[in-house]
Amino acid sequence: MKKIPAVAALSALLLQPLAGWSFEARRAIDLETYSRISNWPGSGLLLAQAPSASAAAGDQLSLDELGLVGKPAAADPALQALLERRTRMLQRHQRLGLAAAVPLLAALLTGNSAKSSPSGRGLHAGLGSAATVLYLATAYHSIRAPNIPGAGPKKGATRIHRALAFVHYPAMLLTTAAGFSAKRQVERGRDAHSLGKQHPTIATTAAVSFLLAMGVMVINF
Amino acid sequence: MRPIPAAVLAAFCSLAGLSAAASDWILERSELTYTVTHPLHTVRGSSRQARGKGICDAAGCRFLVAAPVKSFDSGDSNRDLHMLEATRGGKFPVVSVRGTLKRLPERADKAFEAEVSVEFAGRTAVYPRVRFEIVETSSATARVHGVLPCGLKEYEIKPPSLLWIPIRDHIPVSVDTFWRLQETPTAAKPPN
Repeated sequence: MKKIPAVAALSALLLQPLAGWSFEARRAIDLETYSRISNWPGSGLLLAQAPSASAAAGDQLSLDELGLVGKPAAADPALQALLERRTRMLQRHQRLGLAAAVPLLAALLTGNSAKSSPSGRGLHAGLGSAATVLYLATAYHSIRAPNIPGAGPKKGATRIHRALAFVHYPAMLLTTAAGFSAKRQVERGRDAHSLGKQHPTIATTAAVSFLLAMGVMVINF
Repeated sequence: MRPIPAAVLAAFCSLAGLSAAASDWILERSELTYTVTHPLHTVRGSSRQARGKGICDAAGCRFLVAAPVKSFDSGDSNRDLHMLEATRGGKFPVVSVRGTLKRLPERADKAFEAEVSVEFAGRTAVYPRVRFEIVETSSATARVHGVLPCGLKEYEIKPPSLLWIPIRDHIPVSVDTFWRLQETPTAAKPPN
């Protein structure tokens, strides 16, 4: 056994508290010698007295030590860009949705006047058309907002919001079709029938589910 | 051979003894919870995926706790994704909390104060005196709880808004941690 390196390493181990131990200093010791010392009888005590590698590292606690390396800890600018695009689109979705709610409510309130006078019908049709256009723009921004990879299933109020979309989206499309049908029938001097007759019911379903979808995003349950 | 002076020997022995007190702690489980306040909502988001390590020696204790930003769950997937975007979670996917105690807590202590630095959203904020309570302790375990008084401005995060009303700047983060003394510090690996 070469005694000189062993003694040097042992001295380094023992004197490290005085000299200011560093991880680099420890690494500087010939690893072969170090392992030889650790195999000496009774060396467990010596090694136990020496600070652990991590303790010796002092403030060098790092994410690597925690196993937070690789993909979970790596910056992903593409993901950030996707998230920002998604947020932009959903903010527009939110604003357009609020804007759509105004003509939608107004159209509901003018529904009765549409039955009695041509001007009332015109106003109701105009409000309904505005609501439909804004609604479709709202839906577009929601549908086109990018999905985030690995985001998992929809949870919480978002899930209810999305479920309600399956009600108000077809209902809104049907409302428009039924509204045109009813208008044409009334303008021809006939009573609204078939799909046109269902216009108030379908429109109310669309409006209620749409407002409910807005509400779940605002109110805590 | 000249005898070693007694004072040198005594000093050496005491330093060796101090280094013997060095101990590594591993974060066994934890719950980090942020609280967001809005006039219409109070929302809490938690992560149980934090990993951590602590080192205590004669100079005090240093600890590091880190969690992926996307691991915080507020119960609403859309809100979590928006949080991830607002906090620049794509570019800075990990939030890390580093703490330093100048003095080792005594066994009888129920609380201690630490200097904590939080690296989040690409910025670092230092809280010089954060109070931590030692909820329960044994010879090899310790449960420690504290609240970090974080604010959005410190991390240059634009407060998200709902119906044009922004959330409050103050986002306290509750840190509930359960630590276990690592038996063989040099050999142990961090938990999966």
